[in-house]
Amino acid sequence: MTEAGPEEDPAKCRRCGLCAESCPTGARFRVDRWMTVGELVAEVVKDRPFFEESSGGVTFSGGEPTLQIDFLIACCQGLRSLGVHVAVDTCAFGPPEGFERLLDCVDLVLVDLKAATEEQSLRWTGAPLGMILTNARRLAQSGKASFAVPLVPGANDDPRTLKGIAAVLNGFGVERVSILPYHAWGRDKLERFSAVQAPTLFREPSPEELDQVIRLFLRYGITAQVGGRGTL
Amino acid sequence: MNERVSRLRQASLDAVPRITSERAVLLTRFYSDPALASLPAPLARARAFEYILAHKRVHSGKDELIVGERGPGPKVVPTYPEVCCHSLHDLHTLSTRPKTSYKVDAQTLDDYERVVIPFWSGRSQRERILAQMTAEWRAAYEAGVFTEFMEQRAPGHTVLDDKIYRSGLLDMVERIERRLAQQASVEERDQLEAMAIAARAVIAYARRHAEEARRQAEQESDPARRAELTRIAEACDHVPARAPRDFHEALQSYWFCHLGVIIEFNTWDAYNPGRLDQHLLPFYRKGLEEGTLTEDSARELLQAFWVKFHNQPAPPKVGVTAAESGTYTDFALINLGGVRPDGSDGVNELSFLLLDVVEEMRLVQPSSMVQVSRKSPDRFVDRTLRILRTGFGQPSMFNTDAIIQELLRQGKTIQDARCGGASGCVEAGAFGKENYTLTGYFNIPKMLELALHDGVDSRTGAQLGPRTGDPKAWVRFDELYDAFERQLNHFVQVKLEGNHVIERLYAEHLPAPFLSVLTDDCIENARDYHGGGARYNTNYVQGVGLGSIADCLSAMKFLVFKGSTRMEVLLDALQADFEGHEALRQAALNRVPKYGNDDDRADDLMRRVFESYFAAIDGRPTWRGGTYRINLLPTTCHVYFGSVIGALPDGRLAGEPVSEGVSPVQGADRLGPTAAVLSVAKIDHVRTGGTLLNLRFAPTFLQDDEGIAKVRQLIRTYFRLDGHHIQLNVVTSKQLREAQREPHRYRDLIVRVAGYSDYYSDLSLELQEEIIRRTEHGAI
Repeated sequence: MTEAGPEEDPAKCRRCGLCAESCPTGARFRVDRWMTVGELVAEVVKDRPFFEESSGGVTFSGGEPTLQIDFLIACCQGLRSLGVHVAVDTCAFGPPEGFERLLDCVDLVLVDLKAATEEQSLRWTGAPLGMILTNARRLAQSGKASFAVPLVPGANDDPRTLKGIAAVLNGFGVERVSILPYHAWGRDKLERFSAVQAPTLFREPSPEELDQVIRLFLRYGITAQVGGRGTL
Repeated sequence: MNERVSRLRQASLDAVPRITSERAVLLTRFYSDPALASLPAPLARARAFEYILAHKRVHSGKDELIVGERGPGPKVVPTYPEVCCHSLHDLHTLSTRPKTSYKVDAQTLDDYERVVIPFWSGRSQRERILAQMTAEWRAAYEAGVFTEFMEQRAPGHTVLDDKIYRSGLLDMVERIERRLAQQASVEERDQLEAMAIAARAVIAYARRHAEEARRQAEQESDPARRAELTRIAEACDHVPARAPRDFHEALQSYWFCHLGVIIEFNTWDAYNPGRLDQHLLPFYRKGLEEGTLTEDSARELLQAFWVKFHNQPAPPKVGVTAAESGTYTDFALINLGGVRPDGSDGVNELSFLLLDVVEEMRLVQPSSMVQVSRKSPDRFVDRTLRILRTGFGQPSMFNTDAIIQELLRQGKTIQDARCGGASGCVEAGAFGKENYTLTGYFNIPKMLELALHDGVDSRTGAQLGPRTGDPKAWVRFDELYDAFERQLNHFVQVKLEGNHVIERLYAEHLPAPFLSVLTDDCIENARDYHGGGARYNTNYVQGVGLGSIADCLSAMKFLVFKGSTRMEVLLDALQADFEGHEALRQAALNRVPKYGNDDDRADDLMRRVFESYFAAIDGRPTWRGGTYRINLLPTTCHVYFGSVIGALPDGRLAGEPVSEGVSPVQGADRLGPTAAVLSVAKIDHVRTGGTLLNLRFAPTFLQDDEGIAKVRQLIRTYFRLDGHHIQLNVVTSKQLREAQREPHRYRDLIVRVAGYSDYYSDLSLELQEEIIRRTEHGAI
């Protein structure tokens, strides 16, 4: 802070948060916060009247919530003990024993499948497909999983990939899937962080393309719908 | 709507509001006869009412199905010089002010100059009231500490129940005569005789319309219209003298009662049929069964009825009262839904038909609301939301279960509570049985400003309130709070003492015999509506600025008493309107807990103020034997109250509006609608007689069934938490443009982006443009 206003040198930023604390307008603020399990549960439960009215609950999403599996499990246990419906949105990448423990304390797991080949998975997500599929199969067997396919034109919308994903889901005995078409709304958030204009990497799929995807899944005995996450 | 309704509607929209001297001149002529003027007040009032109704012009317009106007024609508004006599200057202001103006013609000006002003000057109720108020009351009134509802308009504030659908005014006259046959004092006899005269006067007035319709029928060449006119004549002969026989007569009967009430006085909130879907249902079903009515013909009659309300702009006000309520709307609030007298769900097929009418007519008057009980079906709420998403500010939504609890707490029977509802803005009442008078708005944040200046009004430098100490000497927050509370208690006392005098002046000088006929139990009690004749009598003082005061106290607590800002510095900043203290202002705006975020640090301060305000007012006796209660609503008074307050500790600049209703300060709620709703639900709504909450949404929020279900769940959750009322304002694309230019005014606007919601002002320009495109695309 100087007389003329704030000055910043991003290269020297140590993420100490002092700039946010001294900003009187609150224009600069921290998006992260340290919380205990108890604090998080208490915060979430404030909205309980709304969950009860809508028969809804809490969904942990990310990032990838299972990266903090112990914290996540403790939160899920805390919330379920209070009667709150709990869902976890995951990419299914992580140690299998973590997902095993998670299954015991959630009502619903939302699983995204994005790739059909090892190479494609590594290229776009950086994670090996094998472990993802092992976890996904286990989650499907539990009866608590709901599957979705994020559809990103130019990355995974080619028929070969989609057929591959459909075949995998069919193998799991899955009958319904949500298609999540790529959208660019996140750019806004990205720009708030980096103060530079985010590049446009992908385009949004057209309604015709979505129709084709739905038909493709139908051939594998899977009813696909656009959007509509969160139900078994 | 069919062509006839479309013509009637358009004619009403096109008509320019005008002022007529008709009523004023007739009234003056009556009172100029010394023999009549010297009658006891109730008899003089009743005879004057009879005289006006016998001589005023009867209007029966082309295409009309429901007949009768308050003035000589649609949107021509009479004046009430016995209550408040407009000066020539007032009339000039009314005709030339840019907003809510009323045309005044040369004849009216001439009548006022020669007849009305010379007679009523010095005799009007307003002058009587102002002459009897103490210097302390006048100083507080002029400083904007409170407003006074009855200096320009008569109390009113009430709603009709189902009695006129079961019986006629002749039955009321019979009841009056039975009561006269019992023991009664001279005063009681005068009251009862006045009621009988007034009831008969309205019957005679209806029959003048029958004559007019017959006269028109004789000259009418179109056989279809001739048949309609004959039907109108039959209806006006029969009602309101006797109980209506069909749907048409039910509406016409109410309309004559409505006209009677609003011609007798310039009552606040006009008058109101209340639970219209309940009252009309037997006539509707019977008509369909007998084949004398169809859904379409019922719809047409209801639409014609709607036009009649639209033809009656609010009686013109002047000065402060115009500033606090600058609208043509006269607050007749039709109630739909709710529960039946036995407690079962009251939503019926007419509730839906009436919602169609609301949607199709799209008129600012009458106002409409839905009562949502926990028994109301979702589809009733969803139908309402589909109207709201078109950007029409109606219907508002009320919580029947909360209203019933409120009325029960006030001592009403369960049956009377279930047959009640809300009227005016949001006020709970036992329809047909209660005089619930709003006596004035009370400027709560002004109390803090006075406390911070040892009782001196910082605008004028005058010692307005008690000396409650030098703030610089305070070391604990409670010392500040005590000073605030002492100012509050002092000015509540000043307000109530004024009210006592005003109530007595109304009872003594301006009884309301016709309204008394319609309100239980004025006949049995042989007492006037203004004199405590109603079954229930309640007075309200409406608190304004709850959100502002909570945030101000929070700023004081966390910046000064628990923070590092010195009191002197804060007082200097307020004095300077934060000029040169921008960092402090920004800290006050952004760095302290704010009401509306489900944060108990701020919300507990709101609760504390609520308790202080409640304790100062609730349960105290009124002059006419009723009880004081509180409610929290502003109409547009938060703008006026803001204009008389300097800078406040919450960062609000001098002259800016204070918060409205029970809503958080504009832009102070930043954690979304659920947190705002949870904060507002911490108010004990059940101990009020009404609160008002506004939420603003972009139409995309309600674009699909999923969005509608989410908003319904939000509303039902608020109601489950005993919230009294919620108003959803769906903004237009034009307002979204405005919000781009002036984001601070739209800080709370929530838009649905893609499966998630965000504050509009936080979105990039590009995304805002996208939302505007979708809004325009999705407009219905």
